[in-house]
Amino acid sequence: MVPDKSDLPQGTLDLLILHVVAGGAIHGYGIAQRLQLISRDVVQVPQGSLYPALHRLENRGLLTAEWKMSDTGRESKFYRLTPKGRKQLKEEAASWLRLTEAVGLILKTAGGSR
Amino acid sequence: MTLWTLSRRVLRRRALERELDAELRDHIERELADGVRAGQAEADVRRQIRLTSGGLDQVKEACRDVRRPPALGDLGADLRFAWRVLAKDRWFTAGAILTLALAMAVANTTFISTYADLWRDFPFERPDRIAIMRTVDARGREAGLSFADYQDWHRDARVFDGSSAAFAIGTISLGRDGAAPEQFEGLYVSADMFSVLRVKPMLGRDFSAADDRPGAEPVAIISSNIWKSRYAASRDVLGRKVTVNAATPATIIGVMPDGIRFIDFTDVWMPLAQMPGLAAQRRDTRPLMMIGRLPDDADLDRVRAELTPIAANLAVAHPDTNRDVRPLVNTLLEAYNGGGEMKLTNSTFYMPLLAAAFVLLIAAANLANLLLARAAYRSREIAIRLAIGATQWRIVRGLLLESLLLASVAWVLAVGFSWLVLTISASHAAPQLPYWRIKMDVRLLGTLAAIALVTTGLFGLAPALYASSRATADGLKEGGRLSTPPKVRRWTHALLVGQFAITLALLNGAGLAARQFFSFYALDRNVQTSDAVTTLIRLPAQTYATRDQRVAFHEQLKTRLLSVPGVTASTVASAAPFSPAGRRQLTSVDGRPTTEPPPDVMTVLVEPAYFHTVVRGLVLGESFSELHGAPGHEAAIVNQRFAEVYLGAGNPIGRRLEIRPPTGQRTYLREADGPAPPVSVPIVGVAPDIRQVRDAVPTVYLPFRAEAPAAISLIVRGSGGLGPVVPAVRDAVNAIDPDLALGVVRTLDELRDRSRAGPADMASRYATIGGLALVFSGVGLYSAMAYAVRRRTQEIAVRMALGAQATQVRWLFLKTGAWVISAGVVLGVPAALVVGRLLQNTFVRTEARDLVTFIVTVAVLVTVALVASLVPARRATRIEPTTALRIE
Repeated sequence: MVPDKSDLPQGTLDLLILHVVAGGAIHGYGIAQRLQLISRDVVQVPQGSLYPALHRLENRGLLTAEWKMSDTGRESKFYRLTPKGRKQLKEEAASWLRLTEAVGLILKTAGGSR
Repeated sequence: MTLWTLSRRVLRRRALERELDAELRDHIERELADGVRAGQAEADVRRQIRLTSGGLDQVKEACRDVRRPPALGDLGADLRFAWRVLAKDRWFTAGAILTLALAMAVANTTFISTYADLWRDFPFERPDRIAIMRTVDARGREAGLSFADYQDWHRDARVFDGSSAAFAIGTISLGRDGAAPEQFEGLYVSADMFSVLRVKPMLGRDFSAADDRPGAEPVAIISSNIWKSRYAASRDVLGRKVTVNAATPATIIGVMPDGIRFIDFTDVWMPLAQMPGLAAQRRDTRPLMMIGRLPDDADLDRVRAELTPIAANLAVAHPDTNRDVRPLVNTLLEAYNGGGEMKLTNSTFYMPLLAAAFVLLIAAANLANLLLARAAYRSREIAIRLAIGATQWRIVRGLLLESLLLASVAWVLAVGFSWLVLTISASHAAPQLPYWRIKMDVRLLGTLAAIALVTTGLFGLAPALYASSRATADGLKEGGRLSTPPKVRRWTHALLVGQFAITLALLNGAGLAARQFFSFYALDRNVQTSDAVTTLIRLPAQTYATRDQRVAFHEQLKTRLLSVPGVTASTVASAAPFSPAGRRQLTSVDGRPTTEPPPDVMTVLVEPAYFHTVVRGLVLGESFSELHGAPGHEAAIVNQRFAEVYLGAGNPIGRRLEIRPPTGQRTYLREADGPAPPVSVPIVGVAPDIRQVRDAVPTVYLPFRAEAPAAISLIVRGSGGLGPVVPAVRDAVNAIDPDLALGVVRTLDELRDRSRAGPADMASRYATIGGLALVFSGVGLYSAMAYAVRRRTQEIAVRMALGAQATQVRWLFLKTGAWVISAGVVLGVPAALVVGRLLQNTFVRTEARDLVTFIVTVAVLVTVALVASLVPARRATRIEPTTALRIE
């Protein structure tokens, strides 16, 4: 099964991209691969979601990009975090962790449906 | 956005496109390389990539969407595309634009001229802050106020910013100033009136309080109009001595600026104190109107609150004359723009607006049908665009842009059209209304543009939605051959039926207008209009105080005129044909009282010769004798309309009527009537119907001699050209009395044409609207049928190859036409009846259910519909099966 974009909660893809890019300059394909690898194939991002998201982040000034010679012998587009992007990542990651922790707490308590 | 940034963006966009392409290609190649490295076959990896990526073009489009400002993104591109599509389909575009432009032009013209009719503007400062005060009695009859009442209101009302003022209308003649005596529209005003209006003379001075005292030296202010025409714009007009109303010497003290002719077409103003009979005026003679300027913090209710107790006190103090007389307060703007019949609620005004709006709807429905047909035709193009990544919204937007582009071009053309039409018609007709002027102001045009664009947009929306939603799969599958689903056909037919129903109603209205106009033509043949001139004469009360003096003047004038070579007849009447006449109350017929309050009948005082020199003879009985009108010799002649309405069957001759002048209450517009006529008068003849103001109305003719009113119409007949008659009339009048002023001398032909101008204008308006509706509906049906024939070419060819007869094929299409027209007529009949009913107010005598008009209308409509469907149907029968099938 190929999980599509809707399997990721709204806004999560942006956060994941920012996190991956924080590790150093990387191209679009690399981001997709890294996400798939780290998540053990749970997160598979199709081009139709990945590239619009990258361009959106670039547009918002969270990422910058430059064309550089790569291992393939062609130029590839490498993305990097801007200071603004780094700040955004910190805030969003913190709030995401807070939220998941809270959701986990709630789900662990007794009651509800089983 | 500046041009610089715009051009930079265009350049940058190209670079971005290239980068996007390179980036995505890089991704795919990496993925491919990884797959191959992992040991998969290259073809398998490619297939997988295609499956997961969801199509390269969609990805690109999604990325482009991110960069663009939302919604506006490629408006430019869509607009260019829409333009190219329209430019390619030239015939469709030209037809659609022309249809829309004509309909919009009709709508614009009608709206703009109605706006000018109903919302006139005054050349004064803040006319909306000027209150005008009159009175209304217990029966709701409006009147002015008497001089005595005015003095009380003026003294006790405190609300106004500055003083209040009063004025009364009267004709004022000027003479003995170097030019022939002439009559003008005049106004007697209190000294403060111009300061309430906040206008000042451009030459000389305003009236002072001293000018407006009894016994003051008479002075006059003139309009710039007569300053130019009568005094050659000479500066030494100030201080000029003139004789006013053939009796009073006066001095000109001022000239008003251009455009100031308060109250409407006034040329001479004099102080109120100079108004004849002012001092002796009773409280129940109410010729005055009061005006005052409202201070910023007060409204009309404050004025009403202040005047009501004053009026109530007067009612107690003078119960005979002032009981139940209440103040009537409006702003000047309201009094003019909403007064009398000048209201939007009057069908004369709102019916053309409705009709024009309906023509716009018909044109928009035509456009919708054309677009629907084209949508089916373009399903392939749209399917392809959807397949390569366009969103549905994008397609709808593009199609909507096309209709809006059409509408905008049509709108610009329409504004040009209406401007041309209005300018031409305005320069032809002298203004019938004061302060009437065509305004094409931005607000009005903006509103009209919005109406036109929204209408077109709405009618374009349905075809656009339809086209974009169904096109996906079928469009490609059928290889561009189109079949119209029944749903669309139903829509098309419903629109056509609606068009025909509305057209029937509009055409019927046009028919009624035309019939009324032609009935005027028929009535006007009862007057001998050729070779006759008429003018107004007012005998001043000072020199012609008694009836005998006035009769003597007329006798003398007649003798003089008849001795002029070329003059064949001369007669006087209280009103010439085609001009306003007095009214009296008909209190009883044959001794039986009429309704309460008694109905008004038109009354004209005429000499015995009137019925063979002006009117073409009597229908029954004989004209008055020379003796009639003397005490004890009463007689009346009624017109046919009167006989129909009040006398019923039976011989009218010898029956008796009682009529009396309207009671005390008089509006400021109404002339004072003469002494009360004899109690009971026998009818001696029946005259044919002629028109005084609009249509023929029940009329009673009375012997001129009985009253010999001071204001009369002189009618002179000549033979062999009227050229010498006009100066002869002037000479004859001034030979008897050098101070006497004549009104404008007009031929009866001219008076007749003027009185027809309104109805002719109305008839041509409705004819234009009805005609356009007919053409649009016909064209709509024709194009729908032609499209159906084209669409079903293949089917027809198969049918004919299988042996179908031409008549059968023809019937295939005629059936639709027949169905549309019958449904249209069935729905149109009630609509036409409603329209007829609403028009009854406009066209006094037309029946809502005028059968002849109705039958002609339906016949015309059916003929047009048949032709519109027959032509394409015939074309269908001429299809050659072999060629038609080979096209595939």
